[in-house]
Amino acid sequence: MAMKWDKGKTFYLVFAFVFLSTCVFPLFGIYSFGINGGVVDEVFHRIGRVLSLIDVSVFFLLTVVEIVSLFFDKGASIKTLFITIALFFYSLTTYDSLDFLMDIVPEMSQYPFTVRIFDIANFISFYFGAYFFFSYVFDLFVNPISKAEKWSSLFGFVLVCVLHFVFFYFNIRYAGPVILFIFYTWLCTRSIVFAIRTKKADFTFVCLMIIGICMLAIFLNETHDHYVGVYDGALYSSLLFFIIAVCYLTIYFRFVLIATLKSYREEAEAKKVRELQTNILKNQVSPHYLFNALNVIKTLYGESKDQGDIALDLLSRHLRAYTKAADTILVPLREELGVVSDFVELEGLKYAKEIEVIYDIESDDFPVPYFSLQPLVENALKYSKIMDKKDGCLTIRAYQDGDKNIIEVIDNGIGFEPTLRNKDSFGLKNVRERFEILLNANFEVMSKLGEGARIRIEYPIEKPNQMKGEDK
Amino acid sequence: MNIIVIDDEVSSLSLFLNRIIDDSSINCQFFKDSVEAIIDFCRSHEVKGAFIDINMRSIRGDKLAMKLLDVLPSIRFVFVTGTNATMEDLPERVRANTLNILYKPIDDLALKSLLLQMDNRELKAEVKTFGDFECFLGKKPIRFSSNKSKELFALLVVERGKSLNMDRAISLLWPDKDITKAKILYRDAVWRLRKTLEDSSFPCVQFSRASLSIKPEMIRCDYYELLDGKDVYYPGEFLSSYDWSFPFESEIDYILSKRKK
Repeated sequence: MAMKWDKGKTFYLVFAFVFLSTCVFPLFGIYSFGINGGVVDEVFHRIGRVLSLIDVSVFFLLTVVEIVSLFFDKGASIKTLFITIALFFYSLTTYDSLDFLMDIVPEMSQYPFTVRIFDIANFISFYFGAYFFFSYVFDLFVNPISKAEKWSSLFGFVLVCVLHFVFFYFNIRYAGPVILFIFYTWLCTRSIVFAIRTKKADFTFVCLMIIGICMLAIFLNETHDHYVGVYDGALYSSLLFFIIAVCYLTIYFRFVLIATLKSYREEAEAKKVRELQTNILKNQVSPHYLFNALNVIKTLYGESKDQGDIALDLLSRHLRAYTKAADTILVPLREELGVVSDFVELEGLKYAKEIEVIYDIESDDFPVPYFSLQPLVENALKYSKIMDKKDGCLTIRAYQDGDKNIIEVIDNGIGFEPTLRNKDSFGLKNVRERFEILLNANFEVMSKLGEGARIRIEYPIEKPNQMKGEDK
Repeated sequence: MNIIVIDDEVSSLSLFLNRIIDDSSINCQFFKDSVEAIIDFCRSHEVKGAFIDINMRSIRGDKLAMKLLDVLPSIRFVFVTGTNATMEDLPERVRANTLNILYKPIDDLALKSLLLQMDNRELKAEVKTFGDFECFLGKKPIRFSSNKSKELFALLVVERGKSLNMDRAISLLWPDKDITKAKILYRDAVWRLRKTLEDSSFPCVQFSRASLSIKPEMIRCDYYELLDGKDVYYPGEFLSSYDWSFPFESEIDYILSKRKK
């Protein structure tokens, strides 16, 4: 599936960077170095306040932009507005922002309850923002997301929120490891869901689980040390925890997430192809088409039994191909040409005209999407007016050139001015998309007014992307 | 030859009856879906084959076929269906004894061909080369989708199994066309001929990338009879409508004049 890059994505990547940088900073500054008080702490504290001010301003601006774009940009998503609002509140309620606020309004410090409310708002907005951000990016890159994935993500996030809140109040010094631990829990849930869904518990999965257990052990050890009063804010354990977390994330992103994204992309492509095929099939046997064909058959039976039999056989074959198409994605070109030829013959009987079609076929054993050439021929007959022209003719050419399969549909009809052509017709667009998704094809439409038109489809000889397994 | 036809739809049975009524060598017994009556009949008669509808209301055709195999292990089946069922959908034991699947509406030619196969006979195309070139399959004319594909078939018939390559075919069938155009027309004729024969389920021509050849054993032809020395009457001119028939005609004249002497 081709991925389009737009300014929205750049915008959100910058936004993610700002957000993550402010999250990682205190982790290094306070927890990893294990230093409390003194000059270094003071420096970090000041930098933190400046960063929080930048955060608040950036998120406020983004929120305004989002609200404005919601009114003026049709493609704007409400989800992105939720992200900016959530993160604006998050940045507004951090301790740094709170310190800032208390400098301005010193009376606030007299009411601890206010601070508690700020804490809760901070947690809730952080996770709302993070969840909407995750969900938006996922929709953007791997649309559509499956139900199982949605529920497992939601479950992971709820778990993160609850655990983080509990642990945060247990001891503030643990916020860094707790965030990582909770993040791990969420990823771990997803890894397990992934393993169950793909029925694949391979070496990578085992590694993830082992590292996960290590992280859990370190976290519990630190918690225990602190609880019994022997915790010394040891540098090595926090660093170890951090390194293991990085290892975990590297493996996770390298193997699990990439595989998940790939499978979602394939699933999305398969769904798209089925949708396209259903749409094209809906047009094939419409009541209008069917009753017209039956009318022709009835007329021909009136003229001669043999002619009636021929027309009936053609319609039967067309209907059989149609019913088979429901569970067939790719067929050999030979089979598709059979569908085309039956269609052309039936059209000839319908209009009582001989339609001149030349089958210039050098090779016909390569795959094509089912019911893909027939709409092209139908289109050509409809728009090229070759049936009204004395030497009107349609040529279907198929051959292999080097490592390419090439199919051409050429007519010598009235043609069209390419610059005046706004977009593909429904049938052409549908066929183009199926060829592109299934066979990585290059699809070209060429025409000159008065000189006919040519459609050229070119794709690699090697095995198609997927879906062979779905063919029955 | 005894055959049985099993279908729970009376209209389907009567249609079947109409198709085979003129063939006196076939003794056909019709059944609806009464399993016991069918098995009793098979026990008391030497039934060579059965035409069975796959989807009947009281029993599935393939399950009934399994029961028939217990009584007559060598019986051969042809399944008749209105669905898209294929041979792969049949149980392996039944598949081994199945000749083919017939799709409704039943094609006369395919039915005729399968009936002959049940009787270990083969369907042959009747080809008339004297006078107008005509081909019949099961007494019905073969419907070629273009004149040139019919002409190509005629050329293959007179070549009698010898392989015909593109250059020779072009030199005889499109002598006046430029080579590029002639190649396109040749490929069109080949594709159409193959489609015609595939639609008739009659693979009497071997198609390969470089050449074509006919399987003479699948053809009954007046020209072959002449070459084989049969003394029969040949009405009309040999392949009168085709220009390239001239050298063959001279050969025929020579054979006939020799015979007269």
